[in-house]
Amino acid sequence: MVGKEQSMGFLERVLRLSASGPIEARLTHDRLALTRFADSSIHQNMVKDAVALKLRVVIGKKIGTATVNSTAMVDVRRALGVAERLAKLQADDPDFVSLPTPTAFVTSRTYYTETAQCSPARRAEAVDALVQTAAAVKLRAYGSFATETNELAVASSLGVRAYNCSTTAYLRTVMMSPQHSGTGYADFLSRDIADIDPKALGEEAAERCVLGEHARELPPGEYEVVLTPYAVSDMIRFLGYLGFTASSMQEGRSFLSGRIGERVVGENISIWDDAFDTATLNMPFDLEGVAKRRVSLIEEGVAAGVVYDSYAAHKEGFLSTGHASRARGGMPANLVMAPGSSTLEEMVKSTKRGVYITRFHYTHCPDPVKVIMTGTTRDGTYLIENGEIKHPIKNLRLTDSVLRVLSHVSLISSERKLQRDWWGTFTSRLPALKAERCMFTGATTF
Amino acid sequence: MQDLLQIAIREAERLGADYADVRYMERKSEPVSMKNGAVVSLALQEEQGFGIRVMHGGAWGFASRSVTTEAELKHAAAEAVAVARASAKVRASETSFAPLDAAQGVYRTKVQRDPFEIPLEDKLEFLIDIDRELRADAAIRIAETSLLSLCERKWFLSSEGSDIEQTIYETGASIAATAAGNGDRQRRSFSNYAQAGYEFVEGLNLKALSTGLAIEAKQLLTAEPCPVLDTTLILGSSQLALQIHESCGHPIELDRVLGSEASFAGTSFLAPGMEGNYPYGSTEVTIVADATMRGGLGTFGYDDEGVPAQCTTIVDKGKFTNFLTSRETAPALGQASNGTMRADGATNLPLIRMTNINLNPGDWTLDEIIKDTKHGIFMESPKSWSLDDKRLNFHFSTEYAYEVRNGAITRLLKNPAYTDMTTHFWPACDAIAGKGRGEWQLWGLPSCAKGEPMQIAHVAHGAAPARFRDVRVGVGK
Repeated sequence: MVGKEQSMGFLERVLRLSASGPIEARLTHDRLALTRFADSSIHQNMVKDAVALKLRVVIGKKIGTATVNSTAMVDVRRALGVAERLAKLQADDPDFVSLPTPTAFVTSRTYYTETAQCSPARRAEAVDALVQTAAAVKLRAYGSFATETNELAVASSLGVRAYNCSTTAYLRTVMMSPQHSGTGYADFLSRDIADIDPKALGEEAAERCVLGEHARELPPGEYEVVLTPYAVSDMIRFLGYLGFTASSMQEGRSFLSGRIGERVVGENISIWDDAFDTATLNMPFDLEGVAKRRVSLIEEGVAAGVVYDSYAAHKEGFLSTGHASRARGGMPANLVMAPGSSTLEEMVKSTKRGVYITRFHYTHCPDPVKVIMTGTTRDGTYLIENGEIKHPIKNLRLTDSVLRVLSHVSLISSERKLQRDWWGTFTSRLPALKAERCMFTGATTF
Repeated sequence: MQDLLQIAIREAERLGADYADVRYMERKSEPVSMKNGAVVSLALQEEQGFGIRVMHGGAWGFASRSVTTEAELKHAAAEAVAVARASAKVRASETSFAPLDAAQGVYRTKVQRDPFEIPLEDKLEFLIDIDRELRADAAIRIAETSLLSLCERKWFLSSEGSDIEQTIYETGASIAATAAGNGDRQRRSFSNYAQAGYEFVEGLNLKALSTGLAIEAKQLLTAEPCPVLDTTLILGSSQLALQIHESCGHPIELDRVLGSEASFAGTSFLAPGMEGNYPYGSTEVTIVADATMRGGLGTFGYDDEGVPAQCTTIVDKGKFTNFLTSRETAPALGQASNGTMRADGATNLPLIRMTNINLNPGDWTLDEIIKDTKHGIFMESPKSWSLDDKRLNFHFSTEYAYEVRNGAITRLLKNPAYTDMTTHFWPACDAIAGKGRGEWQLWGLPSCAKGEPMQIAHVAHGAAPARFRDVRVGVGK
């Protein structure tokens, strides 16, 4: 860890190098330790330590950017010169107003020493616990265990000064029966490694796997569905990156474009972005050093708003909501869905004939405005009949509008889980859902 | 540089490593992107770093740094050995490693015009010119243009004596027009990338292409939607390139087959023992993995294990013949590596990745295929893609389609999509073009995701339009 004093001291020296105009410097230091395992053996194991400095130089209404992964002042000076030159080359951007000015942010605990100091041996112990749990029921374990320490420091000549150090620990596993006739998944994500119980996680995946053996075919068609938070995360992902961003709204690409104040999904659905929720990967500020704000996105089914970075916000004459990301225009980072009062068990019990979906694989969106999602189920797909899980079914391809599915949600669980979608685009705090209608357009053979 | 990197190898050996390799890379990229004539991104990105991979006690360890000093090289070597020791605690058996002759070599992309020597002013003017063309009609609400210039210099040294230096240049461009009206939005785009100098961008003829894209985007606003039916599908070259990528390139990666990617990217419907006898496609279908061809994003001199670039036949007249392999996985087949281990930068572990996975040209022309088709749909230009975790069931949507009726192209169709199973689709291929000039094209895809942490590989696929019988189209509107 570089630390606050050293990071901010470095950025102060960087700012002093520039004489041309407003400048923003962002320093990141990321340490990733990752153990991957397959067929109950560790097969890849790594530690990656990287620094990066991004400079944004403003000349009039033009921005030049340069990135280097060095903190040597000779490299910084060269990068600064490049950024200034790139800014001068451009025509004025009439939509650009200013880099953000300082905002007061509220801090909460994001760093856990135990996570940051997790050794390769401890990760191996956790993997071994999963392997042993799998072996006890004659399964093989696959997956990964990652711990990360991320330092983010931002300073600008307009007075922004922000530093935060955070940790995350993420354990995920797929268990497979010897002939791969069944698979089961479980994961857990937290800022604090102490929250992760490898044995419990292994038991969850093993139970799904055993239940998934000898799957039968189910013809595609429309069914009721019970979706675990794993599955819900892949649906919410599309709303997140296609709809909840200011840039998609401003360009008319969002399903919310022109619909703020209108009903877009069922009235039992509320979604917001809240970086102060410590059950999410909480953060005090964004990549521009702007304080995070809670933003309501869908309120009781009605379109409520989108998130902004400074560029997109200034374009509309107000302030950033603290959602600057690597792409311009803002991006949600801590999506939260309102809980209900149900349980997964009650959802199954109330289903006459439906499909229980653990998670999705490789989803994509053929129609962003209608938020049509397509993807196949995996690692635990079961037929529910007369309130009971009847038997495992071969994986199905869901192709339906996420908005349509969320318009027919009948039950929402009270329990919510911090969930990363398959692509790793978002981490969201999500409940399980039961939806009365969901269209499946194809099936696999396993 | 080699003397500095040797420090890490010697340190790993001193700590008891049975094998060590170290890769150092300097990567420079200059992405330029514009939207509606305004610069969205104009940046220079530079990164450098090294990664050391060690085998200790039959298990792997890897450590990487973005700062390359003698102290960091030694520290990373020690960390890699410690990681390998931990790996050995959860292992069913020791890792075997196919033998390899030490290689000393230099590889460099042949470029006519260094893309970093082209003044940025010229690049911006070039994009502004295309932007004007894309937005000539008021129906076009968003015009997007971008250029990429990339240069990687990398060194590979191993404790077996390999010493390799490679310099790779990549260039390419992407343009798109989004039309809005009639209560709809439609987008047409074009992009291609190659391992080449700026001459590749100049040869793309983007200005002329942009006129056509804008017209098509506007026409799609009033086009009929693609009907839902089982029919004959003819895929254009760029869509077929993505089809090859997803339903041929990924399932033949032997690490996936052996379960290494099971928790994220998935596995494969293929298994060891299927090579040599499994009927992957019709006799029309021959696919090669060619890392030696000029200009492909998957071209190199040596892979990131120091294995020389090769051309391997994957499917020979329909019969599946080979996987993509590494030194660790090839022994499972009793083979030596065919050289496909590639890493996204020096600070990530190399994985089995596609190189240039090409469908060989057939003996038809596209015109002959159309004339020979009584009823079908021609689809082109990727829009979305999704496959199951064994790469069997797939769903693709494309930007546009044309109906083919009685041997002729008829009406334009919007929102086309098709879905099928890999095991049905390739055996149903009964005609491949390529006889006509320019029909077989090499498409660079600089965005192939795999691994944890996710790595992005640059790969390429050569393809000519081809015909597939009895495919469900139009699904998922």
